[in-house]
Amino acid sequence: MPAEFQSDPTAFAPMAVAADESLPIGFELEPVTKKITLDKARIYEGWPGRRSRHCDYDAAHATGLPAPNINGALVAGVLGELFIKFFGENYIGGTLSFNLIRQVQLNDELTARGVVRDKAAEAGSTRLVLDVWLENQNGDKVLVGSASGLAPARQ
Amino acid sequence: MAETRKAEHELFKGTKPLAEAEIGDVIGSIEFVVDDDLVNRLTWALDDYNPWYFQESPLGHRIAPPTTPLQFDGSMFYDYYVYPEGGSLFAKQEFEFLHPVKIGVTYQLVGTLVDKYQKRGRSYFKMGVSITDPEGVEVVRMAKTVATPVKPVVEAAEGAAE
Repeated sequence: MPAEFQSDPTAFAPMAVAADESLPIGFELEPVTKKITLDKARIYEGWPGRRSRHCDYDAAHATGLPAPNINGALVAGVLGELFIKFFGENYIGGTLSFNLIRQVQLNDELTARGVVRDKAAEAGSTRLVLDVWLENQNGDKVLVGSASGLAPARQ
Repeated sequence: MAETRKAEHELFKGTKPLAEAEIGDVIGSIEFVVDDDLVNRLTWALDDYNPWYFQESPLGHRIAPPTTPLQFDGSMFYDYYVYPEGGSLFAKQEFEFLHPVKIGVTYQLVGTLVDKYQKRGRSYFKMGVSITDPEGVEVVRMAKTVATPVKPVVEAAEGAAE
């Protein structure tokens, strides 16, 4: 590729270290960071066909919000990316659970993080249990939860 | 006002007040398909272009992003229960991924009220959700908990002895 060609900053990149049974308790996953703009919120909601408080100013004002806030489902999608990148096809057989604890506002930058909390033998494999969370650009947690999945033996 | 100009909360069809919610209420059943348009919207919104969403994955077919079912279960709750005046929050979500959700397949999603409780000035309602494929095989088991009102009711001051 010519040197002057720029790379796509949104291009998919797998995690350098994905789930495997040798990972120790305390292992920190490679984080996933996304900025949630009004356009992103609108494309997620299906605006203008769908006008919710998450993408439309009039709808937000009607519910007492000064501006649209971000749909928890969209926030969860950032966590979902971390989850499937780490566990790969073993997200099948996995679990994900989270509480939304702080509203996410337009233009917040969210970082999904996880750490291996526990390991347990299961069905000839190892189930990794993670603490997972999302934090905004101020370091405030907006979502906290847990995830689990079977981890293969290191190849 | 034309339907397309109404805000989302004005379009909910629920008729049962939350005060009358009972564990065991069958909240609803919907069918959904994750089509290419939805995949494009979700991946664009998140800048998540995992190739498994666009071409065959190691699971043998294209798959939907794991949290895709959240596109479908939220509106179902307030198409059964009346949307509360104090507004509603998405409080908690739980997933068990049993099989992949595939692109282009029609799935059925059924919701049932499985729990309700009060905590710190809000009422919480937990909807258990089962997603099955055309063969009736359960592919995702979920639970969504919503809370109302948005601004918690401040509890009356308790006596000093407490």
